[in-house]
Parts: sequence; structure tokens; C-alpha cells
Amino acid sequence: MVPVLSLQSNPAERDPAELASIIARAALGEESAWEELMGLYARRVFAMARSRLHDDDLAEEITQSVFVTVATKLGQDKGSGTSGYDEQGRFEPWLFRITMNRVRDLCRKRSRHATPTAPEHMSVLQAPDEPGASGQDEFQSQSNQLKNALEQLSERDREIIELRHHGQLSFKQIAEISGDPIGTLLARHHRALKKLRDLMEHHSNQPQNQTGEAL
Amino acid sequence: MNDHTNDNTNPLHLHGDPEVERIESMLDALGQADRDAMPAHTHARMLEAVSGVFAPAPISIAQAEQEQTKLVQRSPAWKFRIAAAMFLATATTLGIVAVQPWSSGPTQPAPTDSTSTWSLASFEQDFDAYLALDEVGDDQLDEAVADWELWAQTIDTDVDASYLDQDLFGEPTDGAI
Repeated sequence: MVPVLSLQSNPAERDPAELASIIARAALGEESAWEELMGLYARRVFAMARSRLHDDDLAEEITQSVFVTVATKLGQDKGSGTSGYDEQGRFEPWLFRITMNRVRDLCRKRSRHATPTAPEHMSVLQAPDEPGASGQDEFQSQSNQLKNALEQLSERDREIIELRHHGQLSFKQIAEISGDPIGTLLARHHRALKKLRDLMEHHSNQPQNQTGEAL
Repeated sequence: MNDHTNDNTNPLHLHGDPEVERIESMLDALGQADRDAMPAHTHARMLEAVSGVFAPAPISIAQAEQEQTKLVQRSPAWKFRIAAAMFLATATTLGIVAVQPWSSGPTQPAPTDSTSTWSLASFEQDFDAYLALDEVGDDQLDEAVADWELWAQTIDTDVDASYLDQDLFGEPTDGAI
């Protein structure tokens, strides 16, 4: 049985009023407020970008760009004491909508200038799947299979999965981003999970070469 | 099972399939791994980038006015520099003009050249011949012109007579020419 890692940390539960206070202070350029916001959201934004781009540098660049956009928007009309951000209570959907748009734009640019992936880079996604490997290696192998399966999901299904499991958003928040009813999202999420399961089963039933790639 | 903050998973989202639940747990773990992969220095870089958004403008209006004042104060020096440049340019031009051979003046003897002397003599001869022809040919030309006029009148008379003989203004003949 594959050891399943439990979640080590969850986003701290924030009282909406407290979050609003942090955002208000951030809008005035207060550094401590920005530290708090980054502590809450930077890793989640980074994980969304990393999952899609498989590149730490690009993921970092996108995370930085997202926060600069948020700062620019929050900092608007700073002199008049009002903020350019007026979506009270919807900060997270707003933040992750910006993230998704950035990731999509970058993926589009990359697909326009796509070059064949070198085999050494493919090994990032396809680690060895050796029999008798230790539990951690087995988990790594399963993770790689899962990443490969994620690549085969449709764009919408993948976004739901990533918003949910990398961005740690609730279905209500995902619904605010996508504009879909929650019921539809739940059904799509469930279908996506089943598809991932089928893809992984299909992958594990196929004979594989030394790099774990299905033949 | 997912234990996200603000999780509003409703009872319809119960999976019941342990394999699907396992996939969901793996996705949670994958997300956690991606979150943990963020480099430690990213926070510092982001703070720096964000603080740049809130940094004051590099030049305030007061600073701009000070710069303008400095420019105004600097203007006499610029005038002096322009005058010096103009003086240098004039002096250089005069120097170049003074060195040129065509600036030596009429006091120096003109260089003698056999070719130019020959050309001048030839031109004088041609001019004299033209004047002589002009004087000589005047009377003869008048006579020739008078002869041509008489001959032209003769032709005119002949042409008129021939047209009258043909009776061109008589009855039309079915459009035939």
C-alpha cells in the first residue's frame, strides 16, 4: 500500500474581519501586512504555477508578478485613503483568478514556442519504478504517475484539481473563480479524480521501460 | 480526505471509492510538496518587488523645480562655451581660407600657359570672321528674301487658279470625294 502523506499544514483560518484589516494595511504599503499576506498565500500561488509549469524559476516569477499586481491594485488611490480593490470578502478568489490567468498566458506562450522536451527533462515526470524500492521511492513513483495523469486531463478539470489541491480553495471559492455552480464543480471534481485513477491504473498495467515510461 | 479551510464539501461529494479517496490524498500530498518547494528567498524578493510599488516617485515636484533652477543658474556658463566654440570655428575657417592658393590676390603674376594663349587667339579669329560675314551678307540676304517673296506669290497665284479650275464648290456628288 502506498503511504499517503497527510497534510502537514493548512492555511491558517482567518477571520474575514482580520483579513480585511490586513488587506487595508497592505493597501497603505505596510510591510508587516505584506509579510502576513505572503505567508498566507505565496506558497499556494507558487504551487499552482509549479504544478502547471514544472519550473521553479518560472513559478517564482509568476508568484512575484501576481503579488505585484495585487499590490498595484491595492495601492491605487492610496493618497485619497481608498483602495482600488473593492471585492471585500473575495480576496482569495481574486488572487487565484490572477494566478490562473498568469499561468494560462504563460502556457499559451510556451505552446506557441514549443520545442520537443529533452529526455533528461522527461525524467522529472517519469522517475524509475523499480520493484522492491523503498516506500518513499514507491510514493515518488506514484506521484510521478499522478503528474503524468494530470497532464492528460482537460484544461478545466485540471484547473479545478489544482485550485482545490494546490491552491487549497474551497469549492465555493472555486465556483466564484470559474462562475460554475458548486454542484457542477463537485461532479467535475469527482469525475476528474476517477479519470486520474483510471489513467494511473492503465499506466501501471502497461509494461514499462527503465525510466518508468509506458511502452 | 481533504481538510481544507472553508471546506464546504457537501454530502453529494462523498466518494465511497477507496481508490478515488487515495487519489485525492495523493493530490493533497502533491500540492503540499509543490507548496514546500518554494525557495526560501522568494519572500524577500517579493517583499522587495512589492515595496517598489509603494515607493515614492523618484523625483518630486520640489526636486524638479530645484533642477530647473540649477539649469537657469548654469546658463551663463553655457553662453560662454557657445561663444568660445563660435570663435574657434571662425578662426579655423579664416586659417583655411588664408592657406588656399586662389586667395593669393591680383598682385601676383598670372601663370603663363601656352594652351590657354592659343585658345584665346583662336577665339579672336573666329569672332572677327563672324563680324565680317555679318557685314558682307546683309545686302545679299535682302535680295534673296525679295526673290523668295516673288516666287511665293507666283506659287500662290498658280494654286488659286488650279483650285478654281477644279470647281470644288459645285454640286455635291453622292458623297464621293
